[in-house]
Amino acid sequence: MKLLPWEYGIRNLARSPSRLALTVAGASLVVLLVLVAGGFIRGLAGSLRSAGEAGNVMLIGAGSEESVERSEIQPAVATIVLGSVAGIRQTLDVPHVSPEIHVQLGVERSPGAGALPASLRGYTPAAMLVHPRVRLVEGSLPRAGHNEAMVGVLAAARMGLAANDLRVGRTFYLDGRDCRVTGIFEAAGTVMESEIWMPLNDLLVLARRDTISTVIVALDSATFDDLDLLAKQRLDLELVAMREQDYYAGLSSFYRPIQAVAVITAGLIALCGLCGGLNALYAAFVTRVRELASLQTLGFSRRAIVLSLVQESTLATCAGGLLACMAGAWLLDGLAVRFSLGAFGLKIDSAVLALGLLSGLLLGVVGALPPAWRCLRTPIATALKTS
Amino acid sequence: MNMAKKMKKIVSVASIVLATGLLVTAGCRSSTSDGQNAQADSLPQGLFVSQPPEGAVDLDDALKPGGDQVVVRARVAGRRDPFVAGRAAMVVADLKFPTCDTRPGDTCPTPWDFCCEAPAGIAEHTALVQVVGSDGKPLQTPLQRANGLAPMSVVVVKGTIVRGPDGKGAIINAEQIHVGPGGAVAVPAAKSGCSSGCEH
Repeated sequence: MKLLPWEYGIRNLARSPSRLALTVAGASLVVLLVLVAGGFIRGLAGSLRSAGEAGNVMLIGAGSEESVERSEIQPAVATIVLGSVAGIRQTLDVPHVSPEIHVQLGVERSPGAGALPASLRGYTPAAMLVHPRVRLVEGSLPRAGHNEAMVGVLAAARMGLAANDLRVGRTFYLDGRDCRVTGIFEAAGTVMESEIWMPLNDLLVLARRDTISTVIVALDSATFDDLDLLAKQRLDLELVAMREQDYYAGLSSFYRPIQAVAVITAGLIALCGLCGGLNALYAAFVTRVRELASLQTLGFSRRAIVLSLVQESTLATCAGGLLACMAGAWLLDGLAVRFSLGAFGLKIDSAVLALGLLSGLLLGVVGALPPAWRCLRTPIATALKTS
Repeated sequence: MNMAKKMKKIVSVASIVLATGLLVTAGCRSSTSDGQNAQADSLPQGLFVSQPPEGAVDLDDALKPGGDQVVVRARVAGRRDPFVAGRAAMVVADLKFPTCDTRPGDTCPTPWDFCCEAPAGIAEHTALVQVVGSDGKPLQTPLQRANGLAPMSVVVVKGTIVRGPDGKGAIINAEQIHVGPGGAVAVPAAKSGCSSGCEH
């Protein structure tokens, strides 16, 4: 098969700069939407699924398996675990047993400014042992009894505030009490990054609770069965043992319908983009019916002409895809999105970028075929007479 | 000649793959059956009895102060997963304590977890049944599926009871277990969730 020269397609692209710009911009928009949907799904799944540590077991209130915030257990559970289960991980004789309270409270920027929903976690120093990915990146840890807190890097976004509103040294108000931000922490993109952490006893007082939400235990030689057995031997404590990863996997599956909606929405928008692209390419090709017929009279087969047209459109859409990927990596990556459990950042990683580039490529190939076929099926004699 | 050599090579590779596959399959089978035997062997002889021990009382009555030796009638229930995966232990509940499926219109896939009841009330009507070894610790073998045990199974357990100080959290060290006919249901893969009146 005699193919049209590669330069022929490229020169054709430059024949109408405005048309080329429209095609590239259209493809960019479609690819950008694919990136948003992909980044949303990857970010949401990543923030929940990776939040749990592999060797951690949560002891929570029976019946609160779906939400640790509803769980209420006795503070003594931490001590009971230490006294009953051997083989808990230790560092310098400090056991990895972290009693915690998880609550949603209204936080005010200034007294009477209106409460904003925030996720708070009361913790003891042992929390840093069971959550090794939590890393203080600015300031210092809050001191107990001083109304101090450290905030995750996405806590402000979760509350609908600017990052500046919760920087080190700023004050927010909880139940009318002022609370100073002493530190900022990261947690490897997990949902913890949208939380505010305070010393356990301070938060118990603020939440007017005498029960905690969970005890998180890091296992060494002990097994999950040991803690499950303890939870069932002490039925009076109304406990359930859950692997931390299972808990967050459950939360992740709860948000699967939202992820499906994101995919469907992106799919529908991409379809609209494809239809728009088809229309634009059809308009672009239909004005060249005579030219395409002339090429056939010169001995080029229809297949060769289709290949050249696909080459043209693919070059344009791939350029659009590349621009969208660059914009996505620069503007969208890490962009905070709020959801009921907190906030997460859009994750434009290599897989999402690959999906974006593939979408651009498919748009070019699939988008060019129908109009090309429509133009080439006209008999050569008729096509040559077309004005 | 070359073709014959190629064929020979293909046949040899296929034979090795086939043999490895057979060995792996056989290995898996033998380990499964070993596992089943291990479970049967680990549980004491005579633990499961065909006739229910005489003098059975409801669990709620057995939880009241009294003697250490008890024969209780109960249902395997009280938690979403009433069995401990790697231990000979299971949670049982009083037969009169209503499971979620007794509520009209409820389609809860795990009615044995009492998700329709307030969590605080469940402990008063439940106990842990465990089979202990000579060291006094639960045997490291699961009770689930042993002799047909499953959530909602109705059992009669003869053993020694250790009551909690406030009447909650009793433990029964079982000597004999009779699994009653019927009542047992398959554990669905679906998550728990009451369709009506769920307390938690």
